Amino acid sequence: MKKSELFEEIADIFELEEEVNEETTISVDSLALLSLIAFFDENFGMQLTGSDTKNVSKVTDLIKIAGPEKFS
Amino acid sequence: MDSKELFTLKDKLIVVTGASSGIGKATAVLCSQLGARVVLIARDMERLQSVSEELAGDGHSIVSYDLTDYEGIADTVKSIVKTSGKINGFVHSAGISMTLPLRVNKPEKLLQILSVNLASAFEFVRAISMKKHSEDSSSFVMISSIMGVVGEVGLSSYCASKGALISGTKALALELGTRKQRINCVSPAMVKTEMLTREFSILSVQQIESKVARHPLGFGSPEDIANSVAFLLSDASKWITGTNMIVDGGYSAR
Repeated sequence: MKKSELFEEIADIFELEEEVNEETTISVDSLALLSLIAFFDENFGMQLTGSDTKNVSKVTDLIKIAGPEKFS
Repeated sequence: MDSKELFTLKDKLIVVTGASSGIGKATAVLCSQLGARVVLIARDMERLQSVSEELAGDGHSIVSYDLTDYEGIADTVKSIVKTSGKINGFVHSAGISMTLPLRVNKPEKLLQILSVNLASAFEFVRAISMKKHSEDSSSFVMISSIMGVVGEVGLSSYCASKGALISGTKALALELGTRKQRINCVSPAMVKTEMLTREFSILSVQQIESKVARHPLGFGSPEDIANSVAFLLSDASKWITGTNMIVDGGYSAR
């Protein structure tokens, strides 16, 4: 997946109006978590759980969870 | 009718989708125990084979079919009738569920869910209800969900598909009544199936406990649902059509 596609998806999930990049701050509430679970399952075949995202504060943290090699 | 025979399915041919696991499997097993010949439909041939070994009596058959391909359903029904004879009952237990909050719920996801949960169900009803494929007084049972009546976060597409089954069933009841054919929904709340185990794998213990607490009678078993389905397939329910039987352990009582 292109990083730009991930950023677009993140903007939708977190309803961010500014341009998203790796350093964009995000706050994972319960609805965002459900959205991320669906997104990770579909795009990376990963079963995300609440504990995986406990320490997520920036977009780059999500990239680390998915595996940086999955992005171009 | 002899009261001992009230709930029998003897001499009936019942077609069950989603028969390889959960509610579909429990329904198929119970129907066979009540005397029916059962046609099991699901994708996985190996699992179907294993379910067929649990059936009582003879004359059952298995059909491997992917319900997302609803264009081939009419031909599948035709071939079932050719092999096993006219159909007396149909149970649509196949279904998919995806937790998709609004932000990630795109039209293609909605259509994917509707395709299995709704379009394939109605296509089976269309094909089976033809005179050449079914007996008069046949009974159709759609496995809907309590989520077709109430809402749940992240399940708008699933809820819509199950609600559509309930409302569509009412309209179909009017059309099928001319041949005394009946169609009803059964709407379970949370039932201990593989589908539920998959959904729960992402939840914490507290989240699971809170879901149990919403069911005054606890989670259901597939057999609890199969019992209601068998009733609706039997002649004991011959004056019931167009309804939605809620079997939810009290989930919607509050």
